[in-house]
Amino acid sequence: MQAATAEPARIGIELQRSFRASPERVFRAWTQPVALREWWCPPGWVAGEIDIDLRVGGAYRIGMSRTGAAGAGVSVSGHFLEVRPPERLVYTWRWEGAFAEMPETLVTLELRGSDNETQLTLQHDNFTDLGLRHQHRSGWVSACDRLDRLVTPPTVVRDRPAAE
Amino acid sequence: MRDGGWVTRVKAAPQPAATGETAALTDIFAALSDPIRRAIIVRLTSGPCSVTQLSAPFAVSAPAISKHLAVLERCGLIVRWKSGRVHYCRLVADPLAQAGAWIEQHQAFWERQLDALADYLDREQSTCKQPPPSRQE
Repeated sequence: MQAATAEPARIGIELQRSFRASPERVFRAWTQPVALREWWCPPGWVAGEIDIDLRVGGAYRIGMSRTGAAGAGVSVSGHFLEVRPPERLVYTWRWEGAFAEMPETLVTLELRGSDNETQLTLQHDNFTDLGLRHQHRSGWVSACDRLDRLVTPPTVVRDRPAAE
Repeated sequence: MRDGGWVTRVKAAPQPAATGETAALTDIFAALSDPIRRAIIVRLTSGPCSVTQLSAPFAVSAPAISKHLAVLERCGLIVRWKSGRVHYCRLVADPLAQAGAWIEQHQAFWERQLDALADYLDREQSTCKQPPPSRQE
């Protein structure tokens, strides 16, 4: 076999969104339990326990349950790989109680902006070897491989150039 | 800005996720994590082909290709068969559709979350802008 150019999976999604708020405010809203309680849960759901240890290696867990329903509910948990307020946050992501069989994935948040506007880029990637993925960070590309690449026929899959 | 602030890079058009004893998503994503295996999948989207044809664009040995095909076969992404002396393989759509459904669910999830965050930030902002109640009186 060719020299192991084992690449982490880059199948995932990337979203971009602008907010009328500074990166600091967006970052806080994303990482503080008191703020998450206000917006995280979709309609029909209420926040449960939210624990966030916002530092590299720190763990987080965000629980929620259906309004009025008894039961275990659903939570998202993981740990932080990069914490650089207010511009970058990388953390692992695992659902419990939802999306059965879902592998652990990676969420990367990039915030750029000014006093009253933030451009947020969110990547949610699936990957199979976290360590490997982290080593390859310099080679991260700004766009995820898309599923539609699988159905567009370039004969050879080329790596995209590095983001920088 | 809220309006038109969206850019979404994934446009998967998956079928409903296959149910039953299909391969675990983890295995599918693991299989797709290799660039050569992805390229093989891409090639097979245009139809079944012989393993020899399939190997042609890759600078890897036949045994290496065979290993990649075995990985893809194990998680149900392809099937292989033999006709005379020629080995063929073709794509199986279900596992890919599963992976696509996974992506679509999460895309919808994040779109909703970002909407909710934008609403929250607007609410927070308007609350902050109001003068304290004591001065209003």
